[in-house]
Amino acid sequence: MEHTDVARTVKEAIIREASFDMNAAELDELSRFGEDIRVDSITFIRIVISVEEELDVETPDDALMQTQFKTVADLIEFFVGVVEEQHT
Amino acid sequence: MGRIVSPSKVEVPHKWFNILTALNFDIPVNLPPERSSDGVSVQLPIELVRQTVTKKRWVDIPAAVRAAYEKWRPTPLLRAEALEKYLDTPARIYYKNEGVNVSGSHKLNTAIAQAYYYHRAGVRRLVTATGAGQWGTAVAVACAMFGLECGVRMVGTSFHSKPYRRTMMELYGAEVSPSPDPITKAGRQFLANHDPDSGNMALAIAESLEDTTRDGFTRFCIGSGELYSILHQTIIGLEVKGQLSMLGEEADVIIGSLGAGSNFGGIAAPYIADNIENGKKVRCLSVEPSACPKLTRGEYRYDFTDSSGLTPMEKMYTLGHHFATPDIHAGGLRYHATSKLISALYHYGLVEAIAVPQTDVFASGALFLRTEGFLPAPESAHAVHGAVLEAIAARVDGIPRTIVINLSGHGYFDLAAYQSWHDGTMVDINVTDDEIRKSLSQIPDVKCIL
Repeated sequence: MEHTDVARTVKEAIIREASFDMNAAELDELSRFGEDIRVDSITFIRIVISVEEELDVETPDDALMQTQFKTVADLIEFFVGVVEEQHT
Repeated sequence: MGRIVSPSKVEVPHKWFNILTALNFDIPVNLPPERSSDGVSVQLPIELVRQTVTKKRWVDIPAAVRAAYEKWRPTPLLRAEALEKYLDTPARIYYKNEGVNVSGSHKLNTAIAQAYYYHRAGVRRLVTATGAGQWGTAVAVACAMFGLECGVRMVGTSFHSKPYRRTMMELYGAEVSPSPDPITKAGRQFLANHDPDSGNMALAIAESLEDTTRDGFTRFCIGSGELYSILHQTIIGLEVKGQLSMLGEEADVIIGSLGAGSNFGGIAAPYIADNIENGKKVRCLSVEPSACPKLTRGEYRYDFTDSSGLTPMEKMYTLGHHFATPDIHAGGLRYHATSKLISALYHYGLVEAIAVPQTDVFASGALFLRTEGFLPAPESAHAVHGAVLEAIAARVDGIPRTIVINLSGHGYFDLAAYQSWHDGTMVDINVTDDEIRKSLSQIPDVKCIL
């Protein structure tokens, strides 16, 4: 799976769960969680679950718990790693 | 003593029941939190959130959790024949005794599940807040099961009036502190403007959340109100259905006390689903303290779930997150709001609510002890009192009914409270409309936040 596919899936999940009125191309990967994207922990996990379902991967619980996500790009890179590990 | 319905013939369920799949409306989403420069970190195991978003009707209970449940489940369903005779009622009264595990209450059902998932997610320490101490005890027990450290903040009045609850927690290795605590920011802010004895669950939660910043391996867990905690408690309602079915009985009224909603939601959920999907007419009655009347006198609006104003705003029946909860003996019901699920169910007319004064509650608790030989916790005695009122109504109108009480916990750590009732020194606390109005006025306007 290409990096761009993962990126689009992550952005679409954020837009859907955070109820943003925009499309994936308009969401800047440098957008910051907490500042630009105000979501609580539960909504953030709902974003993760949504991406998991789209990408057909499962996020290890302990990996997620120990990671701080500052930007959309951080979440994209996280899933790029998960996809590489689980789809190869 | 009550007659036990053969519990050994009913299996411990293998799955929890997801009531969300039966609802014909959506639970309102939480509002976004305040802006923060800290990014976002995951505070919950992902599996707990999966349980709140799944479209599956049934959620598997993990083998390790079910094995733990089997140590004391299924819990007994007993017929309160002596109580029925005393009340001279045509009603048949059953009670589901959730006070028979080591922690003394139903809270252990979700504490074990949560500790399991947090442990699997690499968490090393759980911190939490407790009112009367039942939740704190349950978390201490569950943490010990899975090798987790445990920190508990206990509402101050209960910390001092129920020292042996603290002993139980400490025997299981928990570190227990009173709330308010001047070492926390939330505690200092509270003490600057309030009497130390007027602390409540909202404040204890705020202080516990501060405890999570100690290191990267500590997380906060909550005992009631969250969708997943109510899901875990459906084990109660599922067992009740099976046990009543063995007797050829069907419930007419299900009764539970109401704090944040998990014991009531847990016993009522399968029945609410039946009402919606199969046209049944089982009444699901919640009983709250008249000193903390969130459903009967609160407003259905967005509010914070703790007193700090830092948690997400949820749409709930609330008295306001700064509501100064009166010092009632049922510490576990001293919460300014109830869960968004129970709130929505009440809003749509799917559950009922009454508010009752504590002297009446303890009178019914003492009556239950004398007739059935079991002392209910002050929280559970609210449900007992609700059943007494229903039984009397049945006598008055001559219409029999089958009543099922969720006896959510035992009261053997609460004898000081019962002594107060017995000695005539217990008083009922009236909350005025002005007090509620003033508290509600302190909730931020949602439009200003978005």
